[in-house]
Amino acid sequence: MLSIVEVCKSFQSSGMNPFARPKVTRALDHVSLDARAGEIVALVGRNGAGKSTLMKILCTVVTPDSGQATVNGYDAVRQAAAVRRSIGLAGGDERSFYWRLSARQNLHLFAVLQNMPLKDIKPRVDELLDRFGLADKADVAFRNFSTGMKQRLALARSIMHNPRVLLLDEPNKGLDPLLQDSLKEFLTKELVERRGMTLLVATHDLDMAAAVAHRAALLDKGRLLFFGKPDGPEHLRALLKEAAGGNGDGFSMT
Amino acid sequence: MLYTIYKILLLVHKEFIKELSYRLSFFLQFFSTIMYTLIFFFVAKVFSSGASPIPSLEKYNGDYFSFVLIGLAFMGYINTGMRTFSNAIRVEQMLGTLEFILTTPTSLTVVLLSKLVWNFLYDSFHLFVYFVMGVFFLSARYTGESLWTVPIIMLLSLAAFSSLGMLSAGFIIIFKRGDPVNMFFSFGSILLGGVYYPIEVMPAAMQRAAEVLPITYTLRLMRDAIIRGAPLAELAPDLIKLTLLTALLLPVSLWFISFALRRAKHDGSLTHY
Repeated sequence: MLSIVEVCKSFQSSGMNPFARPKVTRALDHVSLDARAGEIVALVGRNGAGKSTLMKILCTVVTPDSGQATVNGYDAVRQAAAVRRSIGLAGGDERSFYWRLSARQNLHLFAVLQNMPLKDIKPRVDELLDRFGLADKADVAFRNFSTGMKQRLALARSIMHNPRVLLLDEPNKGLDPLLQDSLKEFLTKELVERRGMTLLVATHDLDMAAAVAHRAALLDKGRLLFFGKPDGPEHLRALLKEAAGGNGDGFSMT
Repeated sequence: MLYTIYKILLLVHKEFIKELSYRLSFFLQFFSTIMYTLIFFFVAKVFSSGASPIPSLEKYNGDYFSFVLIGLAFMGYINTGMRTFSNAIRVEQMLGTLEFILTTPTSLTVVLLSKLVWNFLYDSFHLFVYFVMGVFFLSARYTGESLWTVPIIMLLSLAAFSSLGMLSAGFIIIFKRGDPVNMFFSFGSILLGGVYYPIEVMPAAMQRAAEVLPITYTLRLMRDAIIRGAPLAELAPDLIKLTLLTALLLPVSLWFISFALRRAKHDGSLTHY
């Protein structure tokens, strides 16, 4: 359903000195992984590990330097339009909504951008607002939403057109503990078991990764260090620490 | 096709809701349109108080107010064509919505077109205010004989300025800020294009330079049609030159914007601002 084969990607960054030679950062270094239909794969790693770059390649907004990424059988570079029809995306960035529009108007607009049949949009929007506990706030401007409400709306938007593959970036960011539990159940029971969606979840929450994922991919400095079934959150934490060489670049204590 | 039109209309509606939510800004822009009309009405009085008519305005009955009002009113359309695409990309980049839109099956062209339609409607409202103020409350004098040519001139002009706008957007995609196309053509248009004064008052070299700017043809055509009521046969040479300029600019612009998009996707900077 989703396959990444030997993908490499480097970026040039010029830093603050405009006269300095641009620094080349290798964001992904021969990364290969896959996700089968109805499977949840967690993408974990420290900041700058390459998780977002991988997601962006799968979303078709960044092209890889080499290697191949396919979603639902379509090549992310050569068949970008078909890939976009197959994916749903819920990013950690709440800015991806129009803040002056209401929740209902936002969902309606993005449903049209997803090319959904017009007759299906209104009932689907109502259904999702209800399902995500936002029905009573449907006509409130997005700018007045709490972080948790924004996150729920982002999730609602991502599944609106029933995509085959769902890409989630920090889906539990800003959610209270009860909502986090409810989210885990929704992802596993509703999206995967009932609808057979494939999920790629980028997260820093190792508990969540271990709880929902069938397999986890651990990235560090662009390299894939582990890809397989995680043996609980401590297993992932130990792998992360090992990759960081102890405690990593943590805060220094005085 | 119908779905794409609906999509564009929905995006225009989104702009309308956004605009309504900033009521003060809308009112202030309306107010500034009225102020500009009044300012140039009084400036025109200075010119009309002289004993001898101004030679370069003879063709327009020596009426500076009617002349400059067209420049002011259509400058909005010119800005729309020039800046819509680059502004739209920059705004969506800053709002954070660009990345999400690019992950949907909707092409960026549709989003940019919707902004063009919205700005065109918005400018038409201002155009209406300029002419209502000028004709009904002040002393602008126009003839309706060749008014039917105005939509043709406007559409051709919009195509020419949108081509420049696409070049400009390409620079914004690559460099984020700093857009030489917009700077060169905006300043060039105001200085050389005959917005505030007839190009005949400039030295010969500057008049020749004005001939490569689409605005020169747009404004000359508009004035000839609206002030003098010139027939189509008289407008034809400038219409042909404007068409040729557009035919030259459009393919270059389309190539450049698609190059800019490919490059930004490759260096991962498409959503940076």
